[in-house]
Amino acid sequence: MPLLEVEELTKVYGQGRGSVDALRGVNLAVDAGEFVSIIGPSGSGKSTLMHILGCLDRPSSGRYRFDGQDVTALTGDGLARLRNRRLGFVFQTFNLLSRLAALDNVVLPLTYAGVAPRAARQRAGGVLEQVGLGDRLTHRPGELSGGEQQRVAIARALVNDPGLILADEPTGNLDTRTGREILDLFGSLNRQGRTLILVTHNPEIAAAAPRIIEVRDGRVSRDERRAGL
Amino acid sequence: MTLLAYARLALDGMGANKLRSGLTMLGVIIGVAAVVSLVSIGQGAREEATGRLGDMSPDHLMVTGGGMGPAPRGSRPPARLTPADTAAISRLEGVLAACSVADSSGELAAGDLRVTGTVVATEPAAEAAFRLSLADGCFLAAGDRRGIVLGARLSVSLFPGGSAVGQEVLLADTAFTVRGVLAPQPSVLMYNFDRRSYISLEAADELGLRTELGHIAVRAESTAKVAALADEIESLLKERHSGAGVGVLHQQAMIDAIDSVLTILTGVLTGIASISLIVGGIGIMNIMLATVTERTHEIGIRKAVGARDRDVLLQFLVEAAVLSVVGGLIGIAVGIGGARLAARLIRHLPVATSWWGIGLAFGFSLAVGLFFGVWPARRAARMEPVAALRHD
Repeated sequence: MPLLEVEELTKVYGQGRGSVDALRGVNLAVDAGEFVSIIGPSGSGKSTLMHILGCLDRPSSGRYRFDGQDVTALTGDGLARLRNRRLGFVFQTFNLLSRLAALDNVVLPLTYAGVAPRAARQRAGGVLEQVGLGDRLTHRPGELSGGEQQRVAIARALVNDPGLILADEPTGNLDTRTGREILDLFGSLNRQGRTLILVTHNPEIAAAAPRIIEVRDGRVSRDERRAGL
Repeated sequence: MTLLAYARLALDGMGANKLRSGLTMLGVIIGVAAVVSLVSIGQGAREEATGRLGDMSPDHLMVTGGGMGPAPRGSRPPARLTPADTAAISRLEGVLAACSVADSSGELAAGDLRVTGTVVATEPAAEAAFRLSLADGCFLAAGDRRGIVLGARLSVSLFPGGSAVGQEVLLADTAFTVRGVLAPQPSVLMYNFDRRSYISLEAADELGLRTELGHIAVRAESTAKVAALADEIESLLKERHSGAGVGVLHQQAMIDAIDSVLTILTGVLTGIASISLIVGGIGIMNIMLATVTERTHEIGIRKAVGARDRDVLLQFLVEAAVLSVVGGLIGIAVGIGGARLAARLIRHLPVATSWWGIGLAFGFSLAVGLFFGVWPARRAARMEPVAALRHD
């Protein structure tokens, strides 16, 4: 059974004549342990697809099953729980809370999961160590470089040990070398067994993943696996 | 998440914009301080008024023809009280003493000294009815047409040298002999007993001083019987005067009347002060709306990492509550301090700290904070994560 599976997924923004079809029937399945790139030009609907896969947005129609569970039937709280325990996000703009230190940013998902503060801080510290930021715990995002901020965001995505990590243009705001390091980090996370979905417009970055899904005009136009990578 | 965790979030949110949080609290502080100080002053006035009245004899009743003040239109004409009414009242069970009272103003002269004071025409029973105590001599006897009893101050003014008893005093060109001098008595409200003189009803008639009885003073055997006695006297006189208007006043009724007036007054003042609390609440709502808008992106991030609607709602609601509670506490301190300061600056302004007033102001400010905080908090909570994230 695939980890996630969508059938005939559509998303319409607005109503009536001014409405825009962002997704026009997407079908895809991702198995646990896969590393997938979703590629497509801007306006192709790839970001919308990623938001729906990440339960940040709801589809207009179609089915979405995550780990055997019908996501479209979940309530707001159910979706929040799914985002909290089963999904991790990495954004292009990092989306860290600027008032909080790196450690507190990573603690955030644990707080909403109901983990006691002391245990949460310990776990968050461990994950930051794992992404190479063991010496930056008390720094605020403004005091960190772009690459370091993105590592904090990755630590935050990892801290609840989610089944799937979604990254939306994670290297878009980084220079080539730092971007490369982040991609390497994703690669090693995948080798540890994490399922990853990487959304990008850049074919070079998409090539970091063994499976590339191309989205055009709200549909999957290509889905290829490269063996031996 | 625990409430403590939400409180920490709220304090963090407030700390992010200290000036704005402070200004928001100022509205609540002013409102709560106004309510607390006005209630304190109102409460003080009440305690003062009822305390002073409480000095009056609680077993005393005052019977008048018609009630106090102008008679309402269409009411019965006032009864003309007579000494026969007094006699009838004194025969009632539970009455210790009853006397007729007719006040007039008169000038007393002794040698070159002249003093104007209130001349009370009454009966011998006045000694018991007013609980008068004599410093010297005795009170008027029945049918004494040329005797007079002087209040303490009056006696000192007219006879600064020595004893007044047995001396002559001129009242309306008629000579009276001083039978007794009263011991000094504390004045109650506008009554200064020490400046009064007492003569018999017959003497007043002869002088043409008395036109009709002012009232009948009655003293009950015990305080407990006063209210029942008041009803009894009223029905007795209604019967004797075929339904004409009669009023019976006693201390508890006056205390109740004054108390209800002051309660209304305090209520009105508190109501006015409460308006400023509501204005403070709108200030909280305004700031919370601005905060929610400003922090939409933050809400998006929190939702993306798993915050439920309830978590976001509580975060902002607790923030509103903390604003109003902290503001309320400061307001209470300022209000008590303000009332004490006013008591010090304005002489005779009675101030009493009222716990229910403090409780009311605090509870009201918390309610205002929550009420005006709910709407912005719900707006924040209901945002779709992706829409909130797009917001910069």
